[in-house]
Amino acid sequence: MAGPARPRPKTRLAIDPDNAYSKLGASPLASIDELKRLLSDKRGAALAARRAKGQAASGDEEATIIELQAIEAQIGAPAARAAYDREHPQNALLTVQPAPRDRAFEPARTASLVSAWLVEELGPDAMILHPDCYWLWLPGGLDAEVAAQLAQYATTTTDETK
Amino acid sequence: MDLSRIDWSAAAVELADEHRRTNAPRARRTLAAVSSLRGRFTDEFSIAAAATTAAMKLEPLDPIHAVRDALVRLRFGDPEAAIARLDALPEQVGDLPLVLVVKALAAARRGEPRTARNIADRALQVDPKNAAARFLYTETNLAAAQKGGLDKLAELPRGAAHDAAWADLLAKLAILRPGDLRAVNQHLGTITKGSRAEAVARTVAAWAAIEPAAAAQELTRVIGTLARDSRAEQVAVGLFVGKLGEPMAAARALRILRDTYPDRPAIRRALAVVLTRVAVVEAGNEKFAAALRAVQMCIELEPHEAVHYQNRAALFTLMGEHDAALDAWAELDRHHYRLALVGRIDARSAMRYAAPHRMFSQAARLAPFPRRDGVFVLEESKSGAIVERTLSVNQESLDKDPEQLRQWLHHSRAALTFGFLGLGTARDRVLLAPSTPGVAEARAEGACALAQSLAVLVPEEGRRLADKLVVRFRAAAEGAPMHYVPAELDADALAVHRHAVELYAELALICIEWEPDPGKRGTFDEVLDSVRAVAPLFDERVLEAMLKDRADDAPPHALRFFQRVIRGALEIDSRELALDQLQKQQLAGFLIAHLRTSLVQRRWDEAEGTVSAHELEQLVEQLDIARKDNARVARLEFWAARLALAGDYHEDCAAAIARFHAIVDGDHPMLGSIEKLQHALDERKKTGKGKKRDGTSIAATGPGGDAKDLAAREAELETQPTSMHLYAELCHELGLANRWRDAHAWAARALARCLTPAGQVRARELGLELSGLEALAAKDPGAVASFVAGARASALGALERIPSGDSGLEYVRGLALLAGDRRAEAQEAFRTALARCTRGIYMAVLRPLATDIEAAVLDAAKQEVDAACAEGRFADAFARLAERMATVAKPEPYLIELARTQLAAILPTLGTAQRPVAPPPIRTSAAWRAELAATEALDAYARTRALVALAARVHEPSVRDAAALGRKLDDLEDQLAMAAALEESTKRATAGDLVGALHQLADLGPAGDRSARVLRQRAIVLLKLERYDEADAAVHKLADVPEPLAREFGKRYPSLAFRQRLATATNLVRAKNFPGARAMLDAARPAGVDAGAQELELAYTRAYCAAAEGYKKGEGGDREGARVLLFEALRHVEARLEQARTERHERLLELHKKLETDLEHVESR
Repeated sequence: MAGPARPRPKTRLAIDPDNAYSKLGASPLASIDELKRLLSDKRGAALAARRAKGQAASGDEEATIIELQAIEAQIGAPAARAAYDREHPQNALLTVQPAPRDRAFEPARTASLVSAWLVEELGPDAMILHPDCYWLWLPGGLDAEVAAQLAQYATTTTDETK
Repeated sequence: MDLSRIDWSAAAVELADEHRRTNAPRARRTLAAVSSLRGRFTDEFSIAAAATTAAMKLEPLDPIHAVRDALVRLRFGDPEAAIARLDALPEQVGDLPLVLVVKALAAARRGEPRTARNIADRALQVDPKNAAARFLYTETNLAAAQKGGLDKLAELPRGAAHDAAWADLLAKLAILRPGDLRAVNQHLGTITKGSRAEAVARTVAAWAAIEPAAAAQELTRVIGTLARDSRAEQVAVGLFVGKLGEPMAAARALRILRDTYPDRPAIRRALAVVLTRVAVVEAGNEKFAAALRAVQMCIELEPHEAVHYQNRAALFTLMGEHDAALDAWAELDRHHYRLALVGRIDARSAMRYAAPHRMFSQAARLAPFPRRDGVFVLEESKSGAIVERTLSVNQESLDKDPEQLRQWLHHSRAALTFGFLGLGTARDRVLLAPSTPGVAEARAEGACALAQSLAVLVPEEGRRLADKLVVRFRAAAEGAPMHYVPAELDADALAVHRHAVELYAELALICIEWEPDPGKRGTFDEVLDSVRAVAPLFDERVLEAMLKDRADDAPPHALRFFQRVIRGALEIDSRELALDQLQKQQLAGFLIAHLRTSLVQRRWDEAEGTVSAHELEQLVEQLDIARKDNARVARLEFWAARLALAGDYHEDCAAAIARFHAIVDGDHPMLGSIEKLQHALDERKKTGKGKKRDGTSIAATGPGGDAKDLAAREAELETQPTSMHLYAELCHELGLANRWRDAHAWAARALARCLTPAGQVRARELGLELSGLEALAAKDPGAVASFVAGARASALGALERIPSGDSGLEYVRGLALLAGDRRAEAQEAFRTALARCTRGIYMAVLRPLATDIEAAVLDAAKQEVDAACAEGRFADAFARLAERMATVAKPEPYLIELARTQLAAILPTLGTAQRPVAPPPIRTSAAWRAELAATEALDAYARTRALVALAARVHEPSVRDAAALGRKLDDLEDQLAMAAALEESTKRATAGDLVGALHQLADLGPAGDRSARVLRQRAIVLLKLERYDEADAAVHKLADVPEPLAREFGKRYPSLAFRQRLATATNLVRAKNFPGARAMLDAARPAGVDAGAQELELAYTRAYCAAAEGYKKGEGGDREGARVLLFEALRHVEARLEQARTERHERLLELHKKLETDLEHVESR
């Protein structure tokens, strides 16, 4: 009834196991700090193994180090990683992801909500580390000239204010 | 003053007005202060950001506005932007305590407590007494470490003024470091007893102290005491969820809690978060079914959240549920498109929407080793120890699973479309810095064509989104300027441009290497469509840069291959590639022609040369079409020669061989084969003359054939892509050839391309009709042929044998019944069609038919009447209208048609002695029948006016049409009056009565001032009357008339005026009015294409004037005066003497001779 239909190939979507994340053994959702730490740990282990074997070291340690260098070039820095992820969206898309609000339940986020709660309870005049508080907006208080001007626009209710 | 009660909007507007009026520094400072403060008091980010930005512009040296701008970013959850704003401040300002405190706050909110601590430390170095910096330092220092640092609490200031800061710090400490709860409780005494700050801090500390085992029970109790959607509720839920244990246990507890408090969104959100954690854990343990159950619950809880759909699709894919996975990914795309349709189309969202398309495109493009089932495959070739891997088309895979190619095509196109979308709306970004308006337009059209894939991937939402994007892309191309120097693209735009070039390169590989299956014409068409869409986006400089950047060990690509194709196809030998627009078109044509040739070749090879004469001719036609795309494809000519020989078309074969040689001009791999063809042709010629191709076969297409006229129509549609008529014809032909899928594809293209309201309705009608005809064809193909041929009613017999079907079939049934004038049954069929219609786009077609059949009857009558009028059969048109008006329940709408037809009948009789055809007596029972009857006695003009008036009075919807028709009549009468006046004016001017001629043109009103013919006549007559200023004024008016005649006369007028002035000057000289003649000559300006000749004529007339005056003075005895004037005449003549000799201006040469003689005579005396 309609135009051409969405393509439905017989061939299954293949999962490429040869991606930088799986080679490193990291989640595509890991933070850049986690990736850096993992790369550093693995590189340290490979270097230690090479040192320990000395002359008897096989080419495996060298190959591991070279592979880690390649992985680092792909996902070891934010810009390179962003480009890699754009070119290889499969890694993140085929990883079951936490909800976007997941971070809101981290202790640090819950803690920052306390500031908002205090602003709600005590009002914006209180000295709380929160961007809604007046002391940040008016560190020297409201200028008399500006106050005189604003007095003309004081209303009982206004849609825009909060 | 309560700042929350200020009307900030009014204040900003009025202060801006004052600033504009006075431009005083004080007004500017106040406006800036109010603008940046406004950022604190609005919940709209766009307003807040615009206000602080305006303040920074007004007072760029006052750092408070930058601080407030950073605070706005923080308020709206963008700490990165806040830090970026503060980092941009000059160094000496950046070290102010306030700036450092806000920056530290932003760093803490970004989750970087160590950085925040260091910044707060810097603030304390600058101002050790800064209380905010001290609290912030302590807070971030404690957050950065797992333990220790509590001694710093003792150093913080105390007292009521610091209660809030203490409450904030201790509550946060209780959450972040529950192990330090004892210290927290000890310091709670610092806060004023009984204050609200103390209550909040104690509550949080108490919640933090609850043991995990009791958390679920306590949370149930606590939630009941807190206001819905309050911050306190959010803190409680956030704190307790962390205590509920591992995700599965937390999910169980929260589900119970949700049953208790079903109206609490905070609980629902927490449950969705925890269930998603369950899914993550279960998927990590490869328990995909359990993960899927959790995700399914998340979708039910948060149907708006895209990530749940993505998780579901990922899980089906991981489970290997192929069909379910395809459906789930399609559902994710649909969800993304819906978000885009409601306005979420910023750069980040566009990238997110593009990701699944990129994944599918890549998955289809090249399967990971060792699989070999992608569109392309890596071929290895060894040269000694060197192994070279090249990208090739995977013919075997494409034959086995052609949908792979479609997947690659449409998902690549969709990904590219979202790439463009992510670039915003600025022309130079979204159209990749087009060099000329033409390039901008072509690129916009290319992007529009690419966007059509969205409708293929997600039919409803994709169609709507594509329509929206078409408007956006075309708007970007409007008024595009010239770029004389290539503009530099930013990284994101360059990435999109590279993607487009990469896609084009791979399409080129497809065009050259793929052998399309003639049985899958739809896929072949989709490839051609993609080549045409991507071609305008190509830029050879981007290709060269990509090749330069690609490392030797980069994955194999088609770029190098494409570069070779470009050089070969366009015969470029120079080192650098630099293509003009024509060459780019030739390149696209070359690729398309190549692919079409491959289609022909494959069909021929599969049939092993045993195709019917009819099909052979169709194949040759395909090559003819390919030649139109690019006439310099040697392979095409080889196949043209080969097929022509097979068909015994000796002349065609010889012509193709000749074209081959003209193209090749030297060595070519097919040269040997073409020589063999030449030899075979020579042999054939000995036995006979051969045949001529049947040129009539285009019109003689019947069902069952892949008719050549289809290809011709397709080609025609490429040149007229908005011709609904052609789409309808092509779709009907395709349907008759039993190629329904292609027919639907073309109907969908019509929907995408014919964007006028009428075009959209027609395209939808076509789509609906095709669906019904397909169902009818399954039962009775003959009935479809009759229906398509225009004899709709003759399909009724077949339709009556078919039980009631889907909306398409019922729509066709309705049309057939309508054609058979069975209106009530037709309406019933349309109602059924509407009831069964599941697609929104067809509702617009069906709803009017189902609700008001009379409108459909009227439409049908209008079509018949229009057709009759177009062919000059006015009597038939009137007869149809009379018949309808006598039978329909509401004849009022037909009155305006009657008037329109009468007007149409008048037009051919203008200027002739014929009388216009009049309508027959009309029998109607309407209340206005007497007035209608009265019109019969009137002449055609009066009757038309009377019918227009009657239509406007008795049928309100006709008022607008009636007014328009009335205006047409007025115009017609004006035109007729003008034509008569012009005719009379010309007659009088010819007879020498110039004043009379001008008088005829005097009373033609505004219409006369808009008529090119009148203005021209007026100017000519005024020139002849030597009223130059008035003639100039008439011509000035002509400049506003958009007619070719006006333009033509406007160009010619300066030359005419010049000659007339010269004639006047000559007359004045003859009348001895020398000052008058000189003034006239001074006003004469040579102009136009013959300006050189006019200069010569002007010089002659000046000389003639001076000489005549000189002779007059000589006659009067003023010898000196005569001498001066004759010398003046000689100077004029001598200045143009050479030109006069060249152009043989005898009068000037003669005057020169005479002047020389006379001056000699004067000088000698």
